[in-house]
Amino acid sequence: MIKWIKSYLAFMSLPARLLIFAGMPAAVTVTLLCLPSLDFPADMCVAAILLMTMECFLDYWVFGGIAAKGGSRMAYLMSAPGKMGILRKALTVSMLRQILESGVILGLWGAVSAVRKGDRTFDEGQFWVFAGILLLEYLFIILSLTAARLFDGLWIHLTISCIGAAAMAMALGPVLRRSAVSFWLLLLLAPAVSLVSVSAAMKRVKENYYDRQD
Amino acid sequence: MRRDAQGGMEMELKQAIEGIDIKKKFRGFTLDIPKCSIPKGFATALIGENGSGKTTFLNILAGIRLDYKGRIVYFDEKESDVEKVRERVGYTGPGCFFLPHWNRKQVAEVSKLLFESFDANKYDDLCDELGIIGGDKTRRVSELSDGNRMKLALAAVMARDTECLVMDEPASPLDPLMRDRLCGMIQEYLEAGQGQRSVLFSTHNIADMENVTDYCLIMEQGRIVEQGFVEDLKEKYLLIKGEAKDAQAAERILYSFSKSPYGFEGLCLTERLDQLAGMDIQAETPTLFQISVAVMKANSQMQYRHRQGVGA
Repeated sequence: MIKWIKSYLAFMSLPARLLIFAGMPAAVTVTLLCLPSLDFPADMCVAAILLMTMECFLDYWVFGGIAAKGGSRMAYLMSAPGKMGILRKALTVSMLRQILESGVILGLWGAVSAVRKGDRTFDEGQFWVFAGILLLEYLFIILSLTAARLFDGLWIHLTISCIGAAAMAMALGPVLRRSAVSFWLLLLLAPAVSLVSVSAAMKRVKENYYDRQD
Repeated sequence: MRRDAQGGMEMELKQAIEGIDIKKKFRGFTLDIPKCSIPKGFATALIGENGSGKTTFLNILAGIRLDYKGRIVYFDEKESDVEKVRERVGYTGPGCFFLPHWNRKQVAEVSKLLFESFDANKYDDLCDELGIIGGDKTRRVSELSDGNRMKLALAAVMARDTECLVMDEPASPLDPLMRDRLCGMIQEYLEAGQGQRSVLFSTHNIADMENVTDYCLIMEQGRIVEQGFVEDLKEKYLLIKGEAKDAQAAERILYSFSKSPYGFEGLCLTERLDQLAGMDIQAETPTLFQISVAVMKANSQMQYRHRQGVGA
């Protein structure tokens, strides 16, 4: 597992590590503290949209353009025996980190907002809402990143992150209304989309070994 | 069979990389190399004008491009699977060789994960020795000059225990001092290998790299138009200088030709030297640069004005 984590960290510069592990949670915290206190799921929804946007934007400094056409930026990796392995490990750990970090931040904010409203109990309904929002956020992160990594440009990453956030905001309504059903549906979708995302990125990278023949 | 460096005993010539019927078509360009050999234990220069297919050919040999027809055999082992020899072949290329946000320290971390034989201490020593980034280990690759990027790539590849280096224009972004050091590094690499290590590099800086070049491949329009040991090529061709009165007659015999109001100059195939008998000429050993330029001109699609008597 250490090698997997090292593979992931190898793709991250120090500023990217600081932003992703400290800057992003801090930004969500500050934003939510500055906003007027909302109800339990509303706080979490705002946090989820913020996290999704930042995840997609910050990914530019980690895997930005990795699946873009033309592998000139990958020449060193392409000349190595374990290149495909290191990239697969890094992409997988990245997804695990995303769901774990989101889970912790959303969980904390769910608890904070509940306490601020004087609600100190945690019932089953709240769990489904929390889990549904978390899985939906993760799903939109993966979908947005799969699209964004096909292009090599900061503005494209930013645009896709904004579109992803807007789409996610629209999808939150049904998830909140039918939280238990949504949870199971998302639980099925999330691993499938994760697998497709990694496979698509790997396929694109592998394609860089080949040109289109005349 | 080949004489060794001391010119004494004959030894059997082994190949580090051998290409057989390599063909690749891409956007109107065709690479067509029926046979080529990179001799083991020597430094081989790949020379050719822009667009002649040098980078494509090097990328195929280094396993960066896999879309070609033909067969490549590595290390005389009948091993044609590049995946099995990647650890033994070091590659450096121009431009964004590393991911742009990596820094010197990250290159080391990634290299340790990628290559079993990567020596982090040697890499650090080489980075310090080459004066990369003035010692700043955190500066990103994208912030480095082309020269420093190439130095970083050289440090990373030289810190591994490889048997063959494939380098795409390593000298181009380097200053003259560093080019001299590059020649030294290639020489040291070959000497340390005691005949088991080989180097293949493409270059436009033929004169700077000549003192380290043992073998040479000259490419034009996707084909290898000349190849051989430099000492053999210097016997195959002669540099001929003569007076203006003989220019017209000499032009028909010489392989390459240029003239000025004072006389003419050109390369002649040694086997045709006797055809110049009776002319007032001087014959000299050409440099690799002169041979390369003559061979490239003879095979180039570019129109050279010397044929009209203006001089090259």
